[in-house]
Amino acid sequence: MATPDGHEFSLTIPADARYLAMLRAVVGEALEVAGFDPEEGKEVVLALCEAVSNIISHCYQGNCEPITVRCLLLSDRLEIRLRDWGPKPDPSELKGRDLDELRPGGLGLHIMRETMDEVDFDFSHRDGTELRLVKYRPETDAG
Amino acid sequence: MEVVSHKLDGGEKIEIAGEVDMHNSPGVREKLLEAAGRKVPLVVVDLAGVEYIDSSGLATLVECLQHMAGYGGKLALIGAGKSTRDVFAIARLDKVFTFYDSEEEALASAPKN
Repeated sequence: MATPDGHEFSLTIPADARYLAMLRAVVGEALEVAGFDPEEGKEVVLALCEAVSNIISHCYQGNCEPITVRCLLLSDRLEIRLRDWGPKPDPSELKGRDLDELRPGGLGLHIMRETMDEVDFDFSHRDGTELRLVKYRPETDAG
Repeated sequence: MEVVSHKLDGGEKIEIAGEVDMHNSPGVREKLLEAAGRKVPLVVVDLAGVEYIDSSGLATLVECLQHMAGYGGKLALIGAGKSTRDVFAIARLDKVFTFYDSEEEALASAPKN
């Protein structure tokens, strides 16, 4: 769909990890169409899949509920909004863990924050959470 | 995603190919921990065929590394492309694992009994 500032598209997937590969393919191609550098595109895809994986495992905890992924490909940035309708996370759990401690797991949020310019959680919805991931285009680099 | 293991002189090589994510990382975990469970002294993980890896894939490697450290075993990584190495660096695991340029170099690092 065209907007005055670019394009956007949405897809809703079940909270099932088997759909991650499809998501990577769709969003990866969209980023290429939108002219994002391939290396940056890989970072965005990684951050997106980390976010969706977190929703699957921590939010829905195995229940196959919907996750909506909305991608806005704008002139100055890419914005991905992930919407779930599950239990809201405890904000104190969103700080990320100490990376000096070597243990498996708990790296998803750190990876999102390292690869994206903005990572914002919106808990204002009556049900569920919206996560906003933003990557600015290099020429704007407002991040 | 495919995970194939081969016996090596003094250890075992596990080749991973394709995309490693939350869906299929359990298959990788199973192969790695199975080798660690047998106390294989050297496990060489060949990442040359890895097209994508996320934190779930990294977690399996961390878990194997920790298991092997428990009995003095060594986990060596070979074949990691730039994109794969970048993910390790983002996760600050690039200094935790040992990356080798070849299987021969990895074999040369095997623990001496």
